[in-house]
Amino acid sequence: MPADDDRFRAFATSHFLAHGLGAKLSRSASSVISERRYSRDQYRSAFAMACGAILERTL
Amino acid sequence: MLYFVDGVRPLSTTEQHFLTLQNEVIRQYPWPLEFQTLIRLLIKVEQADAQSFFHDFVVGSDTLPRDTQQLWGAFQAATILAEDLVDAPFPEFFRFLYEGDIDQFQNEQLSPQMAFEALRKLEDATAGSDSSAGSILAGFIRYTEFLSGMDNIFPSPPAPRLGDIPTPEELLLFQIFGKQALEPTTFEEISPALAARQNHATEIKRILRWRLPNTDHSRRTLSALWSAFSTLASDQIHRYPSLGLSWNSTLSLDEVLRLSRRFFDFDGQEPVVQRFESTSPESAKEADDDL
Repeated sequence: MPADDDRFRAFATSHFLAHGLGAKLSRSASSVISERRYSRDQYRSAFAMACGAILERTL
Repeated sequence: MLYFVDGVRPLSTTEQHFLTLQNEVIRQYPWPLEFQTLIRLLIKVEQADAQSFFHDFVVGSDTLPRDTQQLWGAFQAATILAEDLVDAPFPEFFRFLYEGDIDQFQNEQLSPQMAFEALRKLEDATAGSDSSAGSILAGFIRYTEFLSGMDNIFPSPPAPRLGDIPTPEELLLFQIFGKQALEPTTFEEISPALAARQNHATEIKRILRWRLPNTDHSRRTLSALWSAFSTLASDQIHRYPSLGLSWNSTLSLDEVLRLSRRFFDFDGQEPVVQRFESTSPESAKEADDDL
């Protein structure tokens, strides 16, 4: 099935965002955004990872 | 990669607010160029044009064939492997590479049990992640497994076969077929399917490489990690000679760096230099013995 087939892309997008890598990236970012326990030493890298997860999901 | 259909918002309002607030964190992180562009777009995107964001701004690859059947299996396998990068202990490992305290890590009395215990904890869904040296080392071990998995999905390009020192097999080919047998080959010459798969690997690297920043600090932290891992591996293998295993630190490190370059665009030149500078006479002799 070609990648520009609408049904294929709709299915792939839905699965990616609801169950696959996209969902995992969303949960990873969300846990950091809602978590307030990061120490001064940890927050910079943890927040950078959360930003990266959001960006990776978009690409 | 033109994966998303239209009508999908690129990020939630909460995520957009988060990105906007983390301006300082974002500014300091060494993002690849396309990520920098994407951040600027995502921060500015309005609710009204969010629905058409991917159509308007995210340009898919033009190096991949439109008929994805031949790549579907490889794509699925790579996606499943990439899911692992989100789970513990990978985040601890990547965070250590970015800004880990090398002195603190090197002062830890690392043991194989610490890494095994960290890996065992991964099976326990209720156990939280931690940033201990054992977890970081476990993350490195899982990282080498990830590289190996990716290398199996996307086989490495054929190495140039006309080297300074031909292997016995190359010499035999030369004797049978002449010089033509030693000329470099390319993926295109072997298989168009393998060439397409190589393009696919390049596209995936573009997406994943942000996790392994090309900074002096990440090169030093990876070097420290390698030193710790190599010492443990060498000790264990020498402790159990009946297993018949040997450990070559030099070749193993070269392979980790080669695959890191291939799948993360990571330039690990500095650790290679440090490796020779920091090699003790004893460990150098062991490496020679292994060879």
